[in-house]
Amino acid sequence: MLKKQNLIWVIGLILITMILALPAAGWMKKEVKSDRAAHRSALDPIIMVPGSSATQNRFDSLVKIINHDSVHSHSLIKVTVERNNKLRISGKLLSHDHRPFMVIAFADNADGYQPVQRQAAWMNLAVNQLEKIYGFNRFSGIGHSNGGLIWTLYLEKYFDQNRFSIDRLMTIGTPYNFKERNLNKKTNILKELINGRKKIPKHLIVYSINGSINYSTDGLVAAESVAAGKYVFQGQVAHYTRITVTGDNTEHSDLPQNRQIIKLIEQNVLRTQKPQLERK
Amino acid sequence: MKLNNKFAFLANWRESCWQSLRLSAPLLLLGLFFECLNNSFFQPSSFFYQIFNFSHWHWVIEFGVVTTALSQICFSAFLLLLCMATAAFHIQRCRTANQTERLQSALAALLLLLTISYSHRIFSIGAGLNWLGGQATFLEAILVGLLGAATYYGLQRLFVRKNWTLQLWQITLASLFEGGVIREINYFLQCNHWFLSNILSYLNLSNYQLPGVIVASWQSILNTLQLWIGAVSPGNLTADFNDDAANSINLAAALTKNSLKDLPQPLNVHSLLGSYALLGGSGQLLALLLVLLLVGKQQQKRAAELNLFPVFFNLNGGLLAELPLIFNWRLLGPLLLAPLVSIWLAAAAIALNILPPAVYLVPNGTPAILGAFLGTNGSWRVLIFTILLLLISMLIYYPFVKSSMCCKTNKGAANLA
Repeated sequence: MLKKQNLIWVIGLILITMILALPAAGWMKKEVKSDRAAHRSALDPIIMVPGSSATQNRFDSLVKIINHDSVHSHSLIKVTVERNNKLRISGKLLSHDHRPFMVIAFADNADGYQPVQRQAAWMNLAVNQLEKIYGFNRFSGIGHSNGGLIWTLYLEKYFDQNRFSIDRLMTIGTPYNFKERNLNKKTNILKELINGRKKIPKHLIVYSINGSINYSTDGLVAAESVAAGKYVFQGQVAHYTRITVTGDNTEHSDLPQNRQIIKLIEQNVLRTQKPQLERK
Repeated sequence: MKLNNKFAFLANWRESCWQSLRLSAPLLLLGLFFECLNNSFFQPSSFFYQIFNFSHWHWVIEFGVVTTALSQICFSAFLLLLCMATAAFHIQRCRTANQTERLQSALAALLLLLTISYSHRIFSIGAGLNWLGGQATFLEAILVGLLGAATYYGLQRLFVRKNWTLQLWQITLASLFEGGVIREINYFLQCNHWFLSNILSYLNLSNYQLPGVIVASWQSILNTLQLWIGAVSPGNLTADFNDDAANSINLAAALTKNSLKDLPQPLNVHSLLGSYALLGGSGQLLALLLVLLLVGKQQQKRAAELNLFPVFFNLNGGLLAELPLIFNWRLLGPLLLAPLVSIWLAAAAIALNILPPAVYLVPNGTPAILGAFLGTNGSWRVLIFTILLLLISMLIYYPFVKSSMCCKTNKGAANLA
């Protein structure tokens, strides 16, 4: 027969469990944080994708300026994906460099909806190959012009959150609505990006930069088209920031060499916390 | 009639097993206390050592060495006593033997045990008796005990037929010879262990691409059957499969994205069986123990009280011996059902995104109820769900405990006493 006093055993056991659970949960959270730091690769490259018609040398000036400003030089590794899916890799990883620049360019660098789709798939090939060679599991991204579209498509269609983590993405002069200025008329690419936005990592921090030479355009991409990025990122990622750059070198093709933009890259992409290499 | 005789033999055999298990249980319980202290308090990777940071107390590790040695001594003594008692009780049941005959039968079993266990081939790893020290299973000790009784019985019959008198040296010689032959056959067959104990482990489905619920359910059935036939070592914990390949993939993904959502393989052996269906070891024995505390008879309640501490830390050997659970047909149903129901409910909750899957590695000797809680980085929903599963398992055990333990087993126990 069930006696009330016998219930003390069950209640006592549950109480002891609850009392033990409090310090155990605190310890576990610290342990997971430490494991996570140990799990993140020391190498945290900045992967840059140029826009249409540009080659793997598109960011040479940008890297040169950044290296000139830095105490330690950053490596520059360049990849060009050929039309037959083969990769041409050049450059060398400098010792003790945790933040190398990796440029992924495409032999078929045409503009338009279909070419951009192909380039996103090629980008996936290149990232996987670079991961095999250099063994990283996290990176940051910079995309100039259509390079920003390729980055966004890659994040929506190919990025595997179980393998990689990406903290920051900076798109520079990216036409999210192609040449369309009217935000009520959404082009195919914008519709596709909006449809797939849920797959973009939630903890991502996005900076969208546009140049302005005459209040409305950088000479090639309309400010409204860059602004259309808000429909893709806003409400999905952790932070979405839009910045307009004016003054010298704000024409579309000059943006990667623009001093203000380089400063933004240094502040918001390069200067992130150093990885914790060893557990305490 | 013949069939009845066969069943009578089996009943005798089981009764002598239970009788010897009860006799040796105090030694086992003592060993389990030491093992528990070692597993959960004194080892550097243990639960209390890590949580309460015992690292600045150097004596803790030294205590660990002492408790390890003490537990091994207790387990070895338990296995020896179990083996000898089985032989003695069995010969008594078969032919109402006198004390000398019981002792001679026990001696035959002891010699068999030592000869089979002795291995000159493993001196390189510093052990002559690979079988003892808690490595052997209940079943092996019982079977050697029965073999000892059979050896003595066979010799006795042979000598009576020839009108000779059986002497001690003849029993000794025959046992040593028989044990040596068994040992050599075992070595020839290249078994990891010398018989039966690992057969069930060959049947696991982890190597096949099957849904996690099926693999976890099958593994749970295997674990329970292994427990039920006594093919478990006294001090060994049931594996919680945290090193399973699926869990390794989940762990890497969880650490990469710092989240337990959308993991590649949320339903796997560790997240289901290891986290929710090993409360008190295989068969959710913590639930059975609590039911015994609530509604059991005096003797059962006492056994449950004594075993509360080790079972809370997943060491259930004591309960296995005291009740006993080995070859107890009436309890086989809930032993199988309780963990299966827990696995299925947990699978449904994880699949419906009500609960995250347990992924992170927890310290050794973590209390059973806290395993899934810590494995999910302290999800309180998971802790409440685990307690709920414990209560459901208790409900599953309740009618069986009422109907079987209170009648048949206890009747047997009264007779044994």
